[in-house]
This record gives sequence, structure tokens and C-alpha cells, in this order.
Amino acid sequence: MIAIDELRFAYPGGRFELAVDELRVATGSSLALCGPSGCGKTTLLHLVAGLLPMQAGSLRVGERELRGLSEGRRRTYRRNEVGLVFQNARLVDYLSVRDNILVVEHCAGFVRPLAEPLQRCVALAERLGIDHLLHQRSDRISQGEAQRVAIARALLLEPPLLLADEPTASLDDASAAATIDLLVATARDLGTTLVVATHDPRSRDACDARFTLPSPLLAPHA
Amino acid sequence: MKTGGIWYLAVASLRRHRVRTAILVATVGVVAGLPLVTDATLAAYTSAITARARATPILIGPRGGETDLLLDALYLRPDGRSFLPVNAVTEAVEGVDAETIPLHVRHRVAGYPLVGTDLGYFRLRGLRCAEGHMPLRLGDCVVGAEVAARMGVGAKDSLVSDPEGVLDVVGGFGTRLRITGVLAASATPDDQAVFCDVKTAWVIDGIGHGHEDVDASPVYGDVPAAPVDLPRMAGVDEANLGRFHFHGDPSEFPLRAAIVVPASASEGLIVRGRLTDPDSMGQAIVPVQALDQLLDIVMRIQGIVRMLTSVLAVLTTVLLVLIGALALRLRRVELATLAAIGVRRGAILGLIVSEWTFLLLAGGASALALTLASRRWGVQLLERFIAST
Repeated sequence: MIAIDELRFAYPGGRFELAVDELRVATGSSLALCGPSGCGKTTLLHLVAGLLPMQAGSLRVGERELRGLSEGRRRTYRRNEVGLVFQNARLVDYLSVRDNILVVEHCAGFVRPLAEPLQRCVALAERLGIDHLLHQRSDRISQGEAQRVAIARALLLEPPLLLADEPTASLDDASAAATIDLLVATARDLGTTLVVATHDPRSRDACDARFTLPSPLLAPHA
Repeated sequence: MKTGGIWYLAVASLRRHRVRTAILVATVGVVAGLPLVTDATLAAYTSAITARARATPILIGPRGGETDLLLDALYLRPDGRSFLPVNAVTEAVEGVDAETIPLHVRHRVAGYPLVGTDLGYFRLRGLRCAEGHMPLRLGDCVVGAEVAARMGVGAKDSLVSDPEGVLDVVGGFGTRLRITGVLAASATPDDQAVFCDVKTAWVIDGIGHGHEDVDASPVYGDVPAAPVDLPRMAGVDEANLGRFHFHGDPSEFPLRAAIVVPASASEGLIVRGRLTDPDSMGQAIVPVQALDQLLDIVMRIQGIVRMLTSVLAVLTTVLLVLIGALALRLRRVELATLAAIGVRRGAILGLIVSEWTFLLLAGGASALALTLASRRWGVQLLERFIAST
């Protein structure tokens, strides 16, 4: 599913450099991206999501090589093939839980028929235990519930790849455990490949495999 | 919900931020509506005042400001200071084939102007009673449609004229008037006035009155003592109608103005010619001509309003751009999230543009509503404002 070779990335003007010589993630499996703070977990996740442009090396997701893809194509790739879960749920505060889950469908046109996506939305909400919240305002639910809404939003289009960036970092212990278990189980049930950037040992243990990034490489000052 | 889309999201955003949305819509509505309202109101006002002036061939009034005479006579503004005696009018029209309609506009009833006139006024203005009949006797009155509606009165009810003022300790009681009819609505200042015979107005002036029976006075021995001041009757009714009388020379009784309807243009010229002498008590004006001065003022006001509106529009546009920029800053996490989860740049732009389009459309609709409202009530409000100044 994911094949990375000789990947190198540095932020313009920064001293940090990410280096991943080789990484493979099988389709339908789950991987915990581990490592100390600042080692580049989020950067790697963003590269896989196409949020950052590739600089050097190779990064293939399925049959698609991300290096050289334009911003527009990376956006299309992200919409069609990647589900993203952020550290904070980052829900749209003026929308209900249901509309947050459906937001990508809403944004696909000025007027959109939503009968079929709505069925998927309800099914996902039931699976994630938030179906009773569908008509709630998204700013009136707990953080754990908001994170489950974010997972549902990420999975609505049934992407083959789900990327989660510290999904439990802002949750209490009980919510964090429930959320990571639900995330891994749902991805597994749907056959979705899951990559989780995490510090949380429970998240590491819940995934099929782990990949630890080394301490950050700091380029010498210019 | 079976359909959604960017427009749905835009409406959801606007609904969620109701207060901000309402303020922006109101701002756009007022700024866009102000010139429309001004133009529509002034155009309708000009048309209305011109029509009323055209229907008033000649006005005779005391020497002084033409505009005041015009507005007092056309808009029935009570004026307690400017008047001319009846004989100034009769001398001007003597031997001329013309109808003369007296206008006594000095008193008020419940704040509405009380107009003393005769039946010729109703014929001239095309007024008819929707209920009851025209005032035929001393103490009778008819009320305009708006007065009747607002005060909830009709034929056979009664009204009391307003006391002249809070410091009027001598004649401070009003005179009771019997309503004999309600005029049909005419969308003119006549709707907001009360009409009586000019003699009734003179009774309220204190020129004509009746007295209570002397028998009611104290008696000392066998001789009834005449009171120091015979109590005046507070109203005219069937029983005391015959006891009302006038003091003084009727030709000296006051009028605010008189409308003269000459049989021909040459007859009108004669009337106007008689009042050209600067030493004469009265003046004759042709309302349509006098109106030009007033309309000139109206046009100048319109020009000022347009200039102010232009400045306001520029400032509002700058303000809206600033608000838009601040709103985008506040929403940067939301927009970044949408971009991160793969929403097209065009869709995000479409969302922002849709929200502003809806805001501007709602503002435009408000402006339209204001304009329509001004067509319905603008002239009345303006006339009321003019009448009160």
C-alpha cells in the first residue's frame, strides 16, 4: 500500500531534516509511527497525505507516486484516497455532527443530493457510537465524541488509507483508550490501511506494526 | 435532509452567526436602500404635492411667507399667529365669478389639525363620507380616515378640541364636537385632520359662544344675582344651539387662508391683481408657482442625501471588506481543515462567495422592502413631518 524509499524532506530555512530510507505498509494493516517529539512524525504523515510536496526520494501510495504531483492533484488524491484525523477534531463549529461528517460531500457542489452519503453517515455514526449525536451542534459534544465524529468524517468516502495524527493526545485516558480501539477496529473492519502518528503506548500496542523515527537530524547552521 | 451542498453550508454559517448576519444585512440594506427610499419618497411627495397644488387654483392669505401659507393651507398645519380678516377675502373676490372656500386652521383635536371650512372644501378635494354625513350645524365635525382609525371614533361619537396651551388658564377647556361622519381615505393630509364649519372654529376661538342659564346663579333674597362671569357652554347640542351667538363684526373674523376657485383664468387674474398692492392685508398666490420654491429645496435636500449616501457607501464598503478579512482570519482553522481533507480550492472560495452573495442579496431585499415601504408610507411620514414643523 505505502512504499517509501530514500525520502528526504526539509522545511525551507529550517534546520530539521526528515530522512526515511525505507518503509512499507501493507494494505489493510495498521502502523504506529513513533519517535520523540520533533522527529518528523507529523511531517511524514503530511507527506503521505499529500499536504506537503515531496522533495527527494520516492513515496508511493498504491500505484500512485506522490513525488511530482501538483497541488491540485494532491488535493484530489487526498479527497479520494485519504482520510485524515487530526490531533484536535477540528470540526466546523457552525455545523451539526451529521453535517460535519458529510462536509466533504457538501463541498462537492453548490447543491448536492445526499441520500446515499447520508446512509453511509448514519452507518458510520452507529458503528462509532455517535448516532445519538447526529443532530447535536458540534461545539456541544465532548472531545472524545468530537474525535469520533472526526473519524467518521475521515471514513465517509471509504478511503483506502486513513492517517491519524496524535488522535488521542487531547483526550483523557478513558476516552483515549476507547478512541484508539475504535479507530483500529473500524479501519480493520473496513479494510482500510491505518497509519497513526502517536506517543501513546496504547496506540502503539493496538496497531499491527510500529515504525520508529530516529531523533531529528539537524542540519548545520548555514 | 436529502440535499445539501455549498449553499447549504453558507446558509448554516449565516444562521449560526445570526447577530453578525443581521447587522451586515441591515447595514447593506440601509446603505443601498437610502438613495432608493429618498428618490422614491421625494418623487412621490413631489407628485402628491404638485397634484394638491394643481387642485388649488389660488390661495389668499395674510402677507408674509408664501411657503408657510402654502404648507399651512395644503398640509393643514395649525398656525395661531398668521390670519387675515374675512373682509380682506370678500373684498378681493367682490364682483368676481369665483367660489371662495374659507380655511381656518388654528386649533387641534387630540393633536390632529382642526380645519374650519365649508362644504366647498370637500367638493374641491373630492372628499366624501365613508360613514355618516358632512357637518351641517354648529358643533358638528367630520374626521379624516386616519384620525377615525387611530382614535377608534366614528359618527355619533364626540371629540373635544385641545386647550390652547398649558398656560391658558382662562379659556383652558376644550369645546365638545359632535362627529357626524368619517371621510373616506384619500391618502392626503385630509386623512389626518378633523373638519368643522368655519363658524364652529370661531366658537372655539371664543368669538362665538353660549351661556349657561342665569337661574343657576346664586340668589340673594328675591333678586337673582348676575354672576361675575357667565359660565360658557362647553359644547353645542340640540338644547343649547339657539343660545349660541357671536360678538363683534363678522367681517373681521379671522381666517388662515381662503381658496379661490375662479370661473375663468381672467377672473383669477382680477383676484390676484387686487392683492398686488404691498399695503393690502392679504396676498394671493398660485400654489403651483409657489411650489417651485419648495421643490427647489426638496431637490437640494435630495442632492445632499445622495452625496452623504455616496460617502456612506464608500465607508460601508471599506468596513465590509474589513469585516470580511477579519471573518476569514477567524475561520482560518476551518478553511485549512477543509483544504486538508481534500475540499477543492474552488469549493472553499465558493463557500465564502456564497455567504457574501446571500448577505448582499438579503441586504438588497431589505433595501427593496424599505423602498416599497417608503412608497406606501414615505409620503405620509414626510407630510406629517412637514406638518409638524
